[in-house]
Amino acid sequence: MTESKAFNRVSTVILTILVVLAMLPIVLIVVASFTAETTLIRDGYRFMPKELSLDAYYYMLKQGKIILRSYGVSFLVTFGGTAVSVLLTTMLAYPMARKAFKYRNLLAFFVFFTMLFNGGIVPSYIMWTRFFHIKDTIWALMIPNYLVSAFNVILVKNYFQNSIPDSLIEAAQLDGASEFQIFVKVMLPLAVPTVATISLFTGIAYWNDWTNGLYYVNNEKFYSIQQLLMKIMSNIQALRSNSNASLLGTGAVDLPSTSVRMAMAVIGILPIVIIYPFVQKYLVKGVIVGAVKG
Amino acid sequence: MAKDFGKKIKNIGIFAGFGLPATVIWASVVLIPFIYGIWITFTDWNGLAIDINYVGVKNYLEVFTDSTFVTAFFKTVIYAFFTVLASNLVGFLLALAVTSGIKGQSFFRTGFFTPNIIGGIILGYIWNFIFSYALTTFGKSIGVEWMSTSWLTHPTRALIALIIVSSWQMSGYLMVIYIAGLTNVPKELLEAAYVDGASGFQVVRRVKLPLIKNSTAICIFLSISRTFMSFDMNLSLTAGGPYKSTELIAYKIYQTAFTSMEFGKGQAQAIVLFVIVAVISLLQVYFTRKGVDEQ
Repeated sequence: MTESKAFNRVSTVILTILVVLAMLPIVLIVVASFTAETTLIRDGYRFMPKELSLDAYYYMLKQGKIILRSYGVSFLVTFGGTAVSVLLTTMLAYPMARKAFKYRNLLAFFVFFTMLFNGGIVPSYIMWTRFFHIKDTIWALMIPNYLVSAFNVILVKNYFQNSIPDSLIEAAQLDGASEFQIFVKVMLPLAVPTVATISLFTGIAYWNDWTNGLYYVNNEKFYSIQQLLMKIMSNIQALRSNSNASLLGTGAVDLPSTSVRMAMAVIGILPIVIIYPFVQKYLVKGVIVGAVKG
Repeated sequence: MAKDFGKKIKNIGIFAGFGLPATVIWASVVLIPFIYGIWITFTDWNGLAIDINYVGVKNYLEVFTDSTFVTAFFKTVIYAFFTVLASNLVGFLLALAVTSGIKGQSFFRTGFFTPNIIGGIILGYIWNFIFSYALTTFGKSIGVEWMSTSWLTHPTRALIALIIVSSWQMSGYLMVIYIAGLTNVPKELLEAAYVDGASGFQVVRRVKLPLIKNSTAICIFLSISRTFMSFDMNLSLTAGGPYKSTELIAYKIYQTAFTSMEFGKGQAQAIVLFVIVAVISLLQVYFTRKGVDEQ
């Protein structure tokens, strides 16, 4: 017994070191965002900077309009997109999980097929821009790529199949429930872990997405926080000389640019870091039943 | 007959009420572009021109004769191989560790999954910064030559950097799926094995591994398709550089289609990629299934 206790203690230490390693890059960014710019230039990057400063955050607060707006765009897209996506995913998974539906395997095959094949970016791009005219609209950030993920559909389908007994559905049917009522009143309430799991996956995907912006959005009005970060980080010089995009001021030299970029990365991660701990407890349960059984 | 017909209608009714909206959207997002995309590959369209000429299979031939594409493909194979290997190994070991009954399991799970909640742009930026500044500062201070210059300016090291960052991120994701598999292994079976005098390693090798084949199959499948399609990390971390040495295949397709405006050629490359990924994935699924059945 004492031997296994010692073993536990050793593995706890090792795991703690590994967790710290996994988080280290993120910690470094957080620390750098609080480091005074002059210290960054003089000493380089330290985990224990000599001089702390809130300048970067103060600076963003002052220049906050663009950031606030793109934050708003990101929140809207993430919540709207996730809500619609979860609805579509569960609705697509429902008939696939119902034994009463004859063509369920055919449907499942089609969905699986999309995990391997998709249109590819070229025809998708043409379709969305030419036929649906979503370029430079909020829809461009919501609709392409993330609405229905095949993996999520399969997770939900397996969860419905494995953890909700047929007898329950039959009982509901005997009570005269329609398919829609079964779906809303029986299936969904029992599938909370998997719904939480796919909401987390989808929400993260939407929040972090910048490729839709890259392809479909040129108008600054619809920049998500990620796209704004990309624009600033990839081309900070150009932005400096551009008097319209005034995030970093106009041609000023003594800008806390590095720490500002770090601070932007921090606020880009922040909402997810806050929400994630509340959802993660469902994560393993949702995946266990959805992915591994069946 | 009438009853059968009624049943059929009802059957399709179940589908129509739920599956139809989603299926229509799915079809428009996936199926239409897919068919449309195949048509594009037989043309010389650049996305703008009004007259579009049919060029037969020229685009496909060019895919295989284009040495930069072939290079990108082999780079991708190397990248995928090491990333799949490393992330599955690390993911599995982490899952083993956090299901072994030690304290603070959920804290560790949360911690290891964290790299996954950070998006491509910020991730690329964080690591860019680490490879270019943090690591070089550290390298210089301890006087190690290969750590004193940025890895991202060296062709081979830049590819290794991509592998490291991808594995760092994907391990936590795969860990969750491995945890899911491991928690399903019956406790009695493990106890029985220990009673019979099996060592920890033997239990993993003979009991746990065979019983989580499903998880393993899913993890390998997911990691293969993800690495072959990897685009955003490639763009945000190295942007194909230095000197196009880290252009992976998905990035190459993007370049061909949107930088060179060769839509037909880019789409032909994309279709070749899909076929390759599909063949590899299906082979993998087939062999893992076979392994499961033989148990």
